[in-house]
Amino acid sequence: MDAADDDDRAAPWLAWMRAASAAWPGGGGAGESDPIAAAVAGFERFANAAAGSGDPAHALAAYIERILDALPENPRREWYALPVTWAAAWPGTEAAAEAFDTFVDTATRWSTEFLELPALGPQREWIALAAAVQRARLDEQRAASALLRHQRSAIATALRRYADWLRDDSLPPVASLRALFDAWVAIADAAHREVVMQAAYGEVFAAHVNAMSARRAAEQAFLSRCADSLGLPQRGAFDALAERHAALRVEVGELRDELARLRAAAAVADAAAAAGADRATAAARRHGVEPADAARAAPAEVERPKPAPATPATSKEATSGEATSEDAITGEAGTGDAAAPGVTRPERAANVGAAAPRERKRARPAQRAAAGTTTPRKPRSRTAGATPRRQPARGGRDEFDIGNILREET
Amino acid sequence: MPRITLSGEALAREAAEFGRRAARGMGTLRRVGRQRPGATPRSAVWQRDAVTLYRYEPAPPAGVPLLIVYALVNRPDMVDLQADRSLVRALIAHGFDVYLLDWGTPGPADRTLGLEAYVNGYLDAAVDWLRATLDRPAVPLMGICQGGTFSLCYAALNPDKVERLVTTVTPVDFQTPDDMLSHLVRHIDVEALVDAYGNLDGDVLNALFLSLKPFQLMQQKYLRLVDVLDDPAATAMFLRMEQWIFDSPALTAQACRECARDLYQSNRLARGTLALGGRTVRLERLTMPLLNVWARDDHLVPPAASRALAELVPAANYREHELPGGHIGIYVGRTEHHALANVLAGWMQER
Repeated sequence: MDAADDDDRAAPWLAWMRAASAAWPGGGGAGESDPIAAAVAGFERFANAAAGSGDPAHALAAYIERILDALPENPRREWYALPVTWAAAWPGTEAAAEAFDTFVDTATRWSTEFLELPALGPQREWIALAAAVQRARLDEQRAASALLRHQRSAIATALRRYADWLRDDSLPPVASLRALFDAWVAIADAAHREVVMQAAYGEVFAAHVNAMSARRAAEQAFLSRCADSLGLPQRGAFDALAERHAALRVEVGELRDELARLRAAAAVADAAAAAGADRATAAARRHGVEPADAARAAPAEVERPKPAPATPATSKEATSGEATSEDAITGEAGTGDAAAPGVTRPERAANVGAAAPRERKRARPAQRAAAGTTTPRKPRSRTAGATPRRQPARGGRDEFDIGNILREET
Repeated sequence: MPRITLSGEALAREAAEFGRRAARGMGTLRRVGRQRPGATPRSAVWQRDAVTLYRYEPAPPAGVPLLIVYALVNRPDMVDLQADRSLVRALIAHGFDVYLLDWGTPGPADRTLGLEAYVNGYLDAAVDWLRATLDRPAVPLMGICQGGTFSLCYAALNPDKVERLVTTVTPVDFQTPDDMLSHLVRHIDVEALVDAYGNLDGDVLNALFLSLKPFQLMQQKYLRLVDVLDDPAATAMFLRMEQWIFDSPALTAQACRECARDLYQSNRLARGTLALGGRTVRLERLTMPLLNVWARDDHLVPPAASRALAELVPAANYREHELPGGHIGIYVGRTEHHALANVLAGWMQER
């Protein structure tokens, strides 16, 4: 790829400029062959057409004021205000715009009245749900219109100030399009900020967000009914599964902590056997376990931990960020529950350091919350080799308990 | 003298030059390709669920450990955007052994994770791991934006585990008069929002942030891109920033609820009524050395929102510093990120 190729790529852009300059008001058809000359001619025609004068600043200011004059005032029509504004600039479209206004008024009134009627017949529940969705959509539309009205006032304020700025001959002259644009951005953002910071805008913005939430909730209710009729799981089922998943994560986390504690205790026992009581005490304290606890928690049948690698098994990342090594840490990126197969030495250390003493774990309920929930832990079967089983929950969301589902599948 | 001195010919030439530059820039964009932030080698040293603790390398011998706690609403890679704009590298050069807590990307099952889980759970576990690994009773923390708020909460609840605390562009008073974000969030029905949306998608949050400066962030920024398109390095940096800005994880439903309701709407942190895990976050317990840094031109967290901390913590060990720049600029600016590292290093050597 070289500069010539880039020039080739630029050719369509320049051709577009020629066409655009010819199409400007007063362009009159055929453009010049040189794009620069075409652009110059086009700009001059535009300036003359806009204000009948050769002063670009005043021509631009006059054009902006025409736009301001053309902005419609009817607040109910904000959602299609801009298209109508631009369309109305073309001769002969005023009547069509007015007819469209009338149609929208009538349709809105009729649909609103219809949605207030109670649903009848065997499908009345479906009708009521659909009507609720439609009502929510209309509410959202009204809220959006109100918000647009405020945003339009910000634009109008910005345009007015920009026109004033253009006419202010006491300011330094403007010598580039970029300077014109940068000034517009600064003025427009300042005007936007002023409007946004008004108390009314905060309320209207919130009303719009709330209306969106209500519309979404109504749509969810309708789709939930659809899913129910098709025998598909509903949102509540997924929510219940998510909660159950979070609860299971708590349990796995606790088991992991307990396993780490036992491993630490086993390591202490090893150390004691190998090097005597003094070294065992030191090892216990390094792992945050008191020697007395370690002795209790390290019966002979406890599985011995595998030897730790000689160097910390941390995973390194490609510095470019193209590939991350998060998966290599636990083997289950994003869950971390199945830490055992891929657990690294620092991870073991983390578990030891984070939750070794039982007393500390009880004193910090949020430690469990980190695993996703603050739901109290349910009693777990302590029978060796037995899979913990749960009593099937009845009714409500618990009928989607993952335990029930797993039991049915097995 | 006319207000616009630009002749028609000069205007047209400028427009044509812009067009040529944009057209040629397509080639640069294609050659540069997709960019991702990240320049410094790092190792994942600890992980729980989606949360990962990284250690940047090479760690200086006998370096002072520093745990960076980032916000939930963006990826933390911004602190190591690229080699010449890396706060991490600047900190390493000052002798810091830099650790970074990455909250990861929450999934639907994480929607119940709230501030208590993040602060008392993950952050506490990571700090405990560091304390055990480094054999230190306490470690220095550096919080960024929302991560600074988390760090404040954590340090107030666990003052014995935090050796020193640095908060940067951190909101403390969420209802200062010039806070646009607070103004917009104030009247939202948060319960209805999280019920309807669940985890709040990163794109929704980005749209909110963009709406604070719509003309600059959605128009001017991209026109200025054309100015640098003939410079592959500058283009690559733009793309890295673009990737970082819009690579936003979702905010869990519970975290969204608590941030909006308890912080923005009720201002509980500043009022001393925020409770995590049944314990009230009392900022007056922040007796450790504390440095509070804010950005002068921050439009997301106004300086006043950060400066409010001075009135809420014991004065003896409190220091504050204002840096020129915006919410992100102080971390990725060519000179600004060095300035931040210098301030931090100087403060660490104070006592």
